[in-house]
Amino acid sequence: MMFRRTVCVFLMGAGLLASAVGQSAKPADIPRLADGKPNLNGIWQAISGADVNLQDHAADKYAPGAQSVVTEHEIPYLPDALKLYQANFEKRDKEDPVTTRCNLPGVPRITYAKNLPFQIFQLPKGDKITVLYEYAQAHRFFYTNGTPHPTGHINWYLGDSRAKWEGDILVVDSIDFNNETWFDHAGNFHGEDLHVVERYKLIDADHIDYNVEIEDPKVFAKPWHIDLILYRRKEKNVQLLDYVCYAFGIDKYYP
Amino acid sequence: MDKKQLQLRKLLAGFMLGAVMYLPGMAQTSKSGAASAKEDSATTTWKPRLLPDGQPDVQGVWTTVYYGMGCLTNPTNGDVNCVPPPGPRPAPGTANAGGPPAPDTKDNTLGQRGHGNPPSIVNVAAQAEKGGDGARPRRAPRNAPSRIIDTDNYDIPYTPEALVHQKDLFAHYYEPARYGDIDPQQRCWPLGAVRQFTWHDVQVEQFPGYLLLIFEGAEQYRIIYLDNRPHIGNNLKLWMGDSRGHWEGTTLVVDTTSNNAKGRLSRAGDFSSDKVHYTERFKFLDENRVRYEAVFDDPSTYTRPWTFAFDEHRAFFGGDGGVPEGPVTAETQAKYENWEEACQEGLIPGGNDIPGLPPVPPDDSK
Amino acid sequence: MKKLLLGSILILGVASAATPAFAHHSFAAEYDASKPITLHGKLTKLAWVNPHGWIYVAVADTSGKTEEWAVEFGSPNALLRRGLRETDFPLGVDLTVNGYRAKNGKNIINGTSVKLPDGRNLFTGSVGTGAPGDPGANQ
Repeated sequence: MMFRRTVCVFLMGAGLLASAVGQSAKPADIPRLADGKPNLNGIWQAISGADVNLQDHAADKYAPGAQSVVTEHEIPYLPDALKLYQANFEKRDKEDPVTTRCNLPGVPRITYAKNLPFQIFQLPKGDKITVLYEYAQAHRFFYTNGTPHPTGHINWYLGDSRAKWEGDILVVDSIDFNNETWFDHAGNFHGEDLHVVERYKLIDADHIDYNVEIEDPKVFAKPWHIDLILYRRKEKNVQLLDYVCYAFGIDKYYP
Repeated sequence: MDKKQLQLRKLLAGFMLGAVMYLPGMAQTSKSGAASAKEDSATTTWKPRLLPDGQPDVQGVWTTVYYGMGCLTNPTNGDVNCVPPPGPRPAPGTANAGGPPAPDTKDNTLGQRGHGNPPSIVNVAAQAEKGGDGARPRRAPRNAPSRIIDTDNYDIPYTPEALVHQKDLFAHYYEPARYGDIDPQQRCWPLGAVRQFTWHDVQVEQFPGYLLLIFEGAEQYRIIYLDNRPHIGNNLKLWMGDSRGHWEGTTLVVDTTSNNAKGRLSRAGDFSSDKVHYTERFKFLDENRVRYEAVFDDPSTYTRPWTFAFDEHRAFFGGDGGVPEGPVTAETQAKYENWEEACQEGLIPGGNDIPGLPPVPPDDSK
Repeated sequence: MKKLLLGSILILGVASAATPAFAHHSFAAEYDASKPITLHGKLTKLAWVNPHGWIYVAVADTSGKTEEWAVEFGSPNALLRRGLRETDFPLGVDLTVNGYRAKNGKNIINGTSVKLPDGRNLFTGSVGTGAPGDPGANQ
């Protein structure tokens, strides 16, 4: 009797322990570099409908349907800004700077523009993380060396990014944006005061949880968030190609 | 700016050019360049710091010693050398006109198309000269080695058909009539694996199994894969080609296929076909100098393989201003940030317009 | 932090190792060196884009009618790295602009200097437009 009880307790204990271990098993699954940081090296790709429209949208002639990636579901535009968004939406086929002009898509749209892949290069104790995008051969540097943003407002498409680790999450703070990019083809937009905080979290070896906070007090009543999953490309010998969309249409006259 | 400032600037430019010339071993490099097609890395005794994967550490910012986007046979002297007289020369006094090159004793005009400057040429520092109305100094000729180093005339060995095409393109350079007459660099397009080095500077980053070339001056990059993966299919053409490299001592040897060749080679109508194949050698001579040579192999365009070459040094491109102040050191290189120069906006109002044609060709793809 | 080339210093002259300036696209193909021009007007817009930036100036004629002119300058990074920002140049300020006219006859200039009333030059130190020396220097 005593033995059976002991075994019971033991088994229950083991069960509890197992479930406890199961809950905290995730960190052990994440590849890490020699400096202990999560290893983000590799080729990643979004497969959401965010580039078409951050919010719920049904299929149409332009693109398939997809569910919203906006955490709060509604984007909290200020009243005048909401009117501008609606005007953008109406003329999106003529005005989307990505589909009509191949401008650099800004942040965070560069991460999911056309769902094209990008490659992260990260060294242990490196001074920055380098990201090369297939979209228009763009690149970004996430400086992890503690340097501040340069002074004054600068009008860049992809902003200026300074990053640090908060535990296992890479937190990338970006400002210095121009006002010539949209967050998606639907016309969701921002001004020059845009401030973006991206959080890259490796949830297992092949998936990054990409969480983005967007703030622009001149356009939005409060900050709001986008969340989507980035998938590791695992095909043998997969590599980035190019997507030089600004040459499309004229490149046939060359060489 | 007034005349004094202009003269001072020219003196300063002359001084800096002079300083470059007197770099120990630089003349040596130029001379040895001529015979260098088969040269290997054994000529350097430099012992580089090695990265964890065994690569020599060559990270940092590099730019050409003789910077110029002009005629390949004398790249720092503007376009004038690609226009044998009495061709439609650019307006005198303009930067891209350069100065008329001096004829040599055999009456061949050195530096010009068909008579490229040999690798041993000594660069003559620009002197301020009074010309015309005396108010505007006339640009004196500058001399730099031809970018083509191993043909008899230091120019590109085109087949007869290819030469016709090159001349046709250049004939329309000052008066474009077709969309294809605008040079790709004017459009801020990727210039291809080799030509891209001649625009501004390049930042080298190294990771296990990779060497990245991130070009400032246009948002472009090349990935040199150092593992043993196979090339992508040669029919899958890329603007920067597909590169596979390996280190031989302190020389990085790179094989580049899948070139779409759309970036052309110069403003003067030089080009390859998309069958071109480059073998590139980055010969690092010491921690601050690299001799770059790329063998162009394209029997459909050239009568023989030829070598495109230039010297680079660890430095910042200063041509458009904004060079970090002070001497270039390990610290200034490490602190330097490659800032966004998104060029694909292509916003050159009127710059790419062809008279008589719509700015954007009608889209027949929809 | 990468530690490159510890202690090594380039033997390249005392100044920064800048190479001489050359326009990457052809001044001669787009602008006419025989057509220098000086304009006085008010700054209406800045476009610090690549490969070369632009400023826009509203020039009034004697009857008060204004025309807009586009003035091309060098790479914005040249100005940014010197600490200049677009916000340093207030819209509406009076400007004196020197440059060369575009061949296509439009109100487009390749700018060699843009002076503010306090004497500051917007193109301070910026070269690379490929134009000849400032034609307004002796005026």
